Amino acid sequence: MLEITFGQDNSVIIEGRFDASQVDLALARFNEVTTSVTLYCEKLQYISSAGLGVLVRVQKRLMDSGQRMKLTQLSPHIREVLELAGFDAIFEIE
Amino acid sequence: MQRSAKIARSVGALEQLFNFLEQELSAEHVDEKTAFCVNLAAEELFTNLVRHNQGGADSILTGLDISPGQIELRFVDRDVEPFDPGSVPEVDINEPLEKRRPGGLGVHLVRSIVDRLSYSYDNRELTVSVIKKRN
Repeated sequence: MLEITFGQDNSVIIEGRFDASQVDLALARFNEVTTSVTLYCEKLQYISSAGLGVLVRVQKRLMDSGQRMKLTQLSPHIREVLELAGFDAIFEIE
Repeated sequence: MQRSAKIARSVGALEQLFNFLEQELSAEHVDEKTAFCVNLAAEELFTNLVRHNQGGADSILTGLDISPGQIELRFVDRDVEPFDPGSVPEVDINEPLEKRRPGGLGVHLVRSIVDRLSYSYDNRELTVSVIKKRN
């Protein structure tokens, strides 16, 4: 189960488990993002390469128009996965 | 403790796979970080089998052997062509965003988080397993 909701001040909140079965839902939700945003990951419990692939696609699209997505409030496990994937060089992580 | 479950050959069956893992890992009081790694390795290997062996049997046999020192996760896939996840080329995680291409990241993650990745193939039966030492 994955939930992506839009908050105030260009914030996006992601909750639950971001596995390969959630890719279509996530892409549909992230397609609504067209400006720079901060993705709040405090309640993101899990992410796999499928979820990482979605985040890369969103970041590429945003950067093509001079925007970007920043990640914040990652759990230690999620942060480690992002670092193993080299995503700390692609995303600003707070 | 050895347990096994037949998981339907579908990305949509991931929830079934995770539920099986959660039930068994919780029962053996496996720590959170180790459980996270087992879940991640399981998804990456399972989805690889689903994508690469679409003509195989309807389900993939998933086995879990939990001992005090380590966890062995094993997938047995029948009536399939050989596919060794260990043969997937390493991805360059230092590539800039514009040069990143899909593929290979899942196996890279598995290699990074487990202590051993094994593969065998015999008589159209493929077995891939990982060992993760417990924290």
